[in-house]
Amino acid sequence: MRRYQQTKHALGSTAYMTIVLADDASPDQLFEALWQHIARFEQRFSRFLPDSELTAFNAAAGERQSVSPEFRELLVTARTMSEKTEGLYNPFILPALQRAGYKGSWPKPELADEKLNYEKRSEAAWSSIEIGDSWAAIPKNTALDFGGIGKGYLLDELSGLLQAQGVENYWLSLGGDILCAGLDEPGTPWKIAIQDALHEGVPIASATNGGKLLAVATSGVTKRKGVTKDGAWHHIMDPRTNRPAVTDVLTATVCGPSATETDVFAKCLAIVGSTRAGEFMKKIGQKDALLQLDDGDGSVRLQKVGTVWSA
Amino acid sequence: MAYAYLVQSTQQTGDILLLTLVPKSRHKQLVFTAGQYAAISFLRGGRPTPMRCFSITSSPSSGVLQFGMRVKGGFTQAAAGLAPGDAVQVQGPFGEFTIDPEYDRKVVMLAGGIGITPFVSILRDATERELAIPMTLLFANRSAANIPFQAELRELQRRNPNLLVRFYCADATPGDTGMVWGNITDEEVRQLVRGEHVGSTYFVCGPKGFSDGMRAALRAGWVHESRIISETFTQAGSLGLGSGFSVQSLTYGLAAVALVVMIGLVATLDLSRTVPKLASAQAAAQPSTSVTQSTSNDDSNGSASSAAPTPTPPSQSQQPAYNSYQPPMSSVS
Repeated sequence: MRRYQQTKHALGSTAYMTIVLADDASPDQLFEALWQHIARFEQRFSRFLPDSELTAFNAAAGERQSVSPEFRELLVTARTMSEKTEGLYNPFILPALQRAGYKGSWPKPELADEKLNYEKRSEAAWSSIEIGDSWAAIPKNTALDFGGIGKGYLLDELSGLLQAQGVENYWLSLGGDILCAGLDEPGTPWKIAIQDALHEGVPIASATNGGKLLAVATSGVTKRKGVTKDGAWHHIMDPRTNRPAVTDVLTATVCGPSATETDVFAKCLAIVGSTRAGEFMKKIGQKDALLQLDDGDGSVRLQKVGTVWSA
Repeated sequence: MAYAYLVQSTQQTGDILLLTLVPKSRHKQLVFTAGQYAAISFLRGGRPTPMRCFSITSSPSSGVLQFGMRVKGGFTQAAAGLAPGDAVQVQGPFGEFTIDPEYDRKVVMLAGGIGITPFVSILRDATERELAIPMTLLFANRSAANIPFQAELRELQRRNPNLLVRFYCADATPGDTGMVWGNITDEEVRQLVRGEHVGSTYFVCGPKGFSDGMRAALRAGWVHESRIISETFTQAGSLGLGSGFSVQSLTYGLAAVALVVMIGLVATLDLSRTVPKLASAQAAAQPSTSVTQSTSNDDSNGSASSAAPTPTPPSQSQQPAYNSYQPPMSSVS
């Protein structure tokens, strides 16, 4: 078996594609298929691209619009996740996020194209999404954003693509969200390090996949943040206040078999904070989570839930 | 000009050898600038070895000449067997891998594996002289278990308030204090050139794959070519020299050219006798960077991700010159 890895800048961050193949197999076509899928996803769902399907959809908010099957599928998933989290994940948070300060594509939070400015629009309840067979609609003067779910959803799609090609051993990363399956080249399980919230690149814990499908997602207030004339902001928005979440959690990491779920759940855990994390996990049926809390002296305090975490 | 030195000590930790020399006469000793390298030869089986170049790790003011090398090939194994008092011929110094405090107001050093050696001299010198230049060292290694000069670099960081050192290891574990998991990525280089390090001079030293990757990432970050100083570690057969043969007395010219030819011929012959497979493998990786340095032949520990996506074939039979594999780490997305 041989391990291959490629990396690219995608979705505003770094993407890693790592696959383990039999000695006589070539990875070239697989990598090409993965990168093409990512590029198509970004082109369709990016809120930073003026010609994406999402931008066109938001431009016609209030009208019933034809949507592609892919768009409809993600919309259904987003609505399902909103329902499952009782609205803590809400794809209508974009206007509030832009008002807070996160307007453009990271690392430039300023908006490059005024056409993509939704600051003056309103937030809406997740339940206001209407979805038909080949159409969808959102309330007038609102805007959708798949930033809270997109990377996880795409990871699940990429995983499905590989499995359809008979690839069993791989790990994929989109900006720090990870999905792995099978084994590493030496026949050992994949070991996923969890980055210390206050020390970039330094691992603070790890989880192994045991040869199974395992997604690991981390969300938090330590990145994608800034300062405006109105004060400091970060990108974890609380739909209950439409403001950056007030939380004692620096980062929340969640493990599970679905990257879509771990992506969304990690953000929700960061929003609810450490004292309500257990209650929230019970509600959503999530067993494994790792919270990094600021202990006030430059280091982090770990709050582990579940059995998957190693030191 | 050749300088006569005597072995003061050899110190081997793992496969890293520190060879420390003292001048036979204090009136005739090599004068060098931190970051340069020199060629050495000694008697092996009654015959002089070919000249081989190694980075100088000592500071210019230390009074000794210390070389750091990874012990693997015949030459370095013989060097490890030297005893105190043994004679060593030294030629040099060579290379322009040096800091100009007037020009280099901020410095970022990117080291791969045994490519750390010129930086050791630079950092020792800067710390001794209390040079007020902000310096950041990013040091990539394949294994956390065998990082050259790790303890000393940590100590230098403690003593030098202008120095920041970050260790990168593909196999770092959560218990490894101060270790960064994985390689120096393009993204980190991009962060470097965008952030507080704008206007820095970037020094890159390591195996060819590492140096090429770092240079590409720096260029992609719009760092001007004049701000990138690099050295690539290659076999002695591809020895190249810097623009200065002797800082004090000679200009670069016919003597240097003749020396290159002589060293190249002798070293090639020596290599073809001792490590023919290695020599042929390295010949396929001729350096193309601005300054080339021949050093201990066997290191390939540096690691970096490339600017363009490149597959990493990790099978033992086709192990690349450097390992660009980035292990999985979950971080804020």
